[in-house]
Amino acid sequence: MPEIRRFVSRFVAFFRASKADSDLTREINAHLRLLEDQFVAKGMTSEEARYAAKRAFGGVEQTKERQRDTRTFAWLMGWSIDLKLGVRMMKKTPGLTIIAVIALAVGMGAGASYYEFVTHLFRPKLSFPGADRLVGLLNWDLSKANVEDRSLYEFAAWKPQLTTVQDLGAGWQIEEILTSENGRTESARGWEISASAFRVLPIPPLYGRPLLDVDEKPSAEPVIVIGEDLWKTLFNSDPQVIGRTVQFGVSPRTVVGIMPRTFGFPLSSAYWTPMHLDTAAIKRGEGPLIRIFGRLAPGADLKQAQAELETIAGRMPEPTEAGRANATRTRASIHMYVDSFWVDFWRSASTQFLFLIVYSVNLPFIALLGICAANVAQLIFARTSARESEITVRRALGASRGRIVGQFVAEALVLASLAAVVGLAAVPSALREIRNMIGFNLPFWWNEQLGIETIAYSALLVFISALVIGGVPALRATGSQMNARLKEAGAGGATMRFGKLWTGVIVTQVAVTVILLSGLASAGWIVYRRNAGTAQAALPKNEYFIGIVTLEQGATAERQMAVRRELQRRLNADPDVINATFAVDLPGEVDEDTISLELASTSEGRGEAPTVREAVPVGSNYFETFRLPLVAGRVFTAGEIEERRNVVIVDETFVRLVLGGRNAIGQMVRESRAEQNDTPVPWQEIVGVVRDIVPAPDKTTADAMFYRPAGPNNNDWQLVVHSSKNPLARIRSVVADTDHGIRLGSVMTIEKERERDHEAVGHLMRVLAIIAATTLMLAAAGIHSLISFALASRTREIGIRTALGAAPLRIVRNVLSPPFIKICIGIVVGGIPSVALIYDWLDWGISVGMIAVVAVLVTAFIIAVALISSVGPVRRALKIPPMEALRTT
Amino acid sequence: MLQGTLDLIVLRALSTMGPLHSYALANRLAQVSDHPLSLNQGTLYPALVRLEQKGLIKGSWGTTESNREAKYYRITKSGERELTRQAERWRRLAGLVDKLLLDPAEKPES
Repeated sequence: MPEIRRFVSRFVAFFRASKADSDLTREINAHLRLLEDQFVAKGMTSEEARYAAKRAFGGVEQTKERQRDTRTFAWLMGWSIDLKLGVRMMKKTPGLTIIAVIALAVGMGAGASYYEFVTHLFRPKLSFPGADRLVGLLNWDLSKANVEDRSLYEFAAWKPQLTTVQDLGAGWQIEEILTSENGRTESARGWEISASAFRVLPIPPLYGRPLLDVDEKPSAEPVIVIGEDLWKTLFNSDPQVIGRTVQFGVSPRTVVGIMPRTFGFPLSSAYWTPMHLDTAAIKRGEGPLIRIFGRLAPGADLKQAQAELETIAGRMPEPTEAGRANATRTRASIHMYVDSFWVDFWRSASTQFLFLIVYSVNLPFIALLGICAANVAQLIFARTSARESEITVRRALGASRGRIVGQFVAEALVLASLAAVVGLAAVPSALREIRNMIGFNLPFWWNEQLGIETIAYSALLVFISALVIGGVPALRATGSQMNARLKEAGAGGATMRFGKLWTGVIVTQVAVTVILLSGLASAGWIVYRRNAGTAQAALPKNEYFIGIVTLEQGATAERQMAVRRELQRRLNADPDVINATFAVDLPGEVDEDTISLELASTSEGRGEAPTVREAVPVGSNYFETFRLPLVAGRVFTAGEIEERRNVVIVDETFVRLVLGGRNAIGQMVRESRAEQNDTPVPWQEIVGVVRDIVPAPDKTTADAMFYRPAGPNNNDWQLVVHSSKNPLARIRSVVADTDHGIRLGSVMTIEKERERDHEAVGHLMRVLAIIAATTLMLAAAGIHSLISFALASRTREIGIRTALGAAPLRIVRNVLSPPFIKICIGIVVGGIPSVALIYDWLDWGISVGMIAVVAVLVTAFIIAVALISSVGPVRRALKIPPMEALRTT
Repeated sequence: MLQGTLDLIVLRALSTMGPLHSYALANRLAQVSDHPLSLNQGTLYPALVRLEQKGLIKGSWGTTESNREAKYYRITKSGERELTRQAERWRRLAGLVDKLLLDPAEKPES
C-alpha cells in the first residue's frame, strides 16, 4: 500500500513541481541557517560559518536534483521539458506547424472517421435499458446456406411456444405514399410490425402512444405511428397531430404517436403500422421478407434460447417436396440483435475474422496518414538542418542518440496531438458526410457521436505518427554521418544532405499529387458534362414525376408489357396527368457510349462511319411526354415498340451532321461492326425526325441522338408522369387499381432526383477536393523545402560564382536543376498511371484530347507551384553578399 | 552506512525522539554513522521525501528553540507499523547473519 501511495504521489508531484521546489529550497535554507548557527557557536565568523555549513551540507543543487529524482519520475520530467520545447518549436515555425497539423489532421480524421463508422455499424453500444437482452432470430435455408427471410410460417409457429424469448415480434418493410390533411405528400419507407417492437426497445414516444397489441386485431381502427423526420416534413412538427388522419396510400389512418429519431427499430423506419397476422393463411416459404426479434426472458441466455428454438423447430412438420416446389429444410438460430443483421452477411466465416477484414479496410486510411506523416517528416528533416549545430553540440557534450531522438519524438507528439484534436473535431461532420454520401438510411443504432474507442485509436495513431515524423528525421540527423559533421561543426553551414529516402518521398509526393489532380480534373469534367446535359434539357423538372415499377419475381415479358401498357393507358386517361410514358433514360442523361454508324446511302461509296451516341430505347408516348415535337415523319407505333422492330427516330442534329441535311425519312442506318462481318446488324429505317433536346450551335456527330423502340425485355423501366398538379396519390391509386402485383418505389420529381444526384456527387467531390488540396499543399511545402535545402547547401558556391561575376539567371538555373529534375521525375512517375486511369474513362465522355489537356494543365500547375515555391529561397540566396557566403568556410 | 538502513534510522529517530527537523535528523544520522564525516547532510532529503510520499512520516513547518523556522517531521501510525515490521526484519536478518558467522560448520578449523 505505501508503494502504491508513493507511485501516485510521485505522479501528482510531477504536476506540482514548482511548489515542491520552492518548499525544498525553503527547507534547505532553514537547514543551512541551523548549521551556520552551530558553527558560529563553535567560534567561527558568520562568513566562515556560511561556507562551513555549505560544506557540511554537501552540494545544494545536487541535493535538490536527487530529491527531485526521488520525488517524481525523472523521465517524466525530461519529457515535460521536451514537450515544452515542442510547443516552443511549433510557435517558432508557424508555417510548418499549420501545414503539418492540417496534413496529419486529414489523415487522422479520415482513419478515425472510418473506425467510428464501422464500430457504430457493427459493434454499437446500445444505450437503452435491456439492450443487452435484445435478440434477433433467423431462419436458415439449409439448401442455399443463407437466411430465408420469408419466415412468417416459422414465426407463427415459434411465437406461442418460445419461453426463453419474450415479446417475440416480427415486421416487414413497406413503402407507401403518405398525404397529410393539408395536402403535403411524401413517399417513405416504414415497417408493418408487431406492437412488441415498442416494448423490446423501450424508447418513449415524443407524443401520443406507441403501437399496442390491440392495434394488431383485424377489427382494430387503422392506425399509424410516425417518426420525427416524417412528422417534420408532413406536419411541420405540429404537436397537435395526434388523432389526425393521414392518407396512407389509398386508405386513411389515424396518427396515434410520434417516435423520436433515435427509434428507427427494427432497422431504419419513417413510420410503423400494426402487423395483421392471419396465421391460418400462412404457408411455409411464402409471405413478405420479415425480421424476427424479441427479448431474452429473465434468467435465460442465448444458448438456452437456441436449444429451445431447435426443439420447437424439430417438432414442426417436415417440408414436403410434393406440397410446394421451393419447400426446403431450414434451421433456426438466435443472435444478439445487431449481430443478427450481419451473420448472413458474414456467412460461415467467424465473426472475429470478418471484423478483422472490416477493420483492415482502415489500412488505406492508415496509408494516407503514413503518406501525410512521411511528408511532414520530410519537412521536419528540412527544419532539422537548421538545428544541425544544436544537435551536434549536444552530441559532443555527451547527450545520447536516444535522448536526442526522444526529444524530437516528444516535439512531434505535440504536433500530432494537436492534429488529432483537429482531426477528431472534424469526425462528426465527416460521419454526416459519409451518411449523406451513402444515400440510404443507416440503422437506428448508428450515430455521429465520438466513441471512447475511437479516441483511444486516435491516440495510437498519434503515437505512431510521432514516431514517424519525429523519430525518422532524428535518426537521420544523428546517424552515421554524425562524426563527420562533428568535425565540420566549426566550419559552419549546412552539411546535412537530402538522402535517397527524402528524394523518394519528394518524387512519390509529386507523383501522388499528379494522379490525384488528374483524377479530380477528369472526374470534375465528367460530372460537369453529365450535369450540363440534363441541366440544359428545357423541362419543367418539378412537373415530371418518376418512379420504379416492378412486378412479382418471374413475371413473364408478356405480363410486364401488358401491365405497363394498361398502366400507361389509365394514367394518360387521368385528368390530373398531362402525359405518361415509360423510359429507360431521361432526356439529357443518356449514356455516353458511342457507336460507329453505317449509312446505307454511303456504305458502298466512301464507307464513312460517323460516330454517334448509342440509340436511346424509348417507350410509347415518350416524345409527347418530354415535349419533343415531331419535325418530319411519324412516331413509333405500339407494335413497333413492343416487338422492337428495326425502325429509328433521329433528331435534327443527326439530320444536319450525319445525313448532311438530306431528307431523313426512309434512310437506312445500322451499327458498323467491321470485326463481325459474318453477323451483320440489320438495317434500321428512319421513320421520323424530332427536335433536339438541347439546341446548341457547336454540336458534333457525337451529340446526335437517335431513338429506337425499347422492346419487351427491359428491366430498367422508369414510369414518367408529366403533371402540373401533385399526382402522387393519383398515381398510387391508379397503380393499385391496375394490378395488385405492381410495386411502385422511389417516386419523386426529376428535380428532386437531380438534387439527390448533385448532393451525392457534391459530397464525393468535396472529399476528393480535400484530399487533393492536402496533397497539393504538402507537395508545395515539400518542393519548397527541397529547393531551400538545395540552395542552403550551395550557399558558398553561389557566393563564389556571384563574386566571379556569373549572371544570376545562370546560377539559378544551375542550382535549381537537380531539384527540378526530381520534380519532373515525379510528374512522369505519376503521369503514366494517371493517363492509364483517365484512358479507362473514355467511355464516360473523356476524349483523348481531354487527356492531353489534363496532362498539360497538371504538369504546368505542378511546375508553377514549384517555381512559386522557389522564388523566396532563390531571392534570399542571391541577396547574400559574396563575402558573407565565403566566410562560411 | 549500510545500504537500505537510512529509512529505518529516520523512522527510529522520529519514533524515539519525537518530531525532528532535518538538521536534527542529520545530526542523529551522524551519531549513528560509523564515519560521521563521510556523509553529507543533504543525503537525508531523498529519504525524507520518499518516506513522506509513502505516508510513513508527515512534515509541517514550525519554529526551533533558536527561533529559526524549520520543517518538523513526525512519524505517522503507519510509519510506526512499518518501523516495527522493518525492525523485526532487520533483527531476523542480523540474527541470521550472526548465526551464519558463528556456525561451526563455516569455520575452516572445524
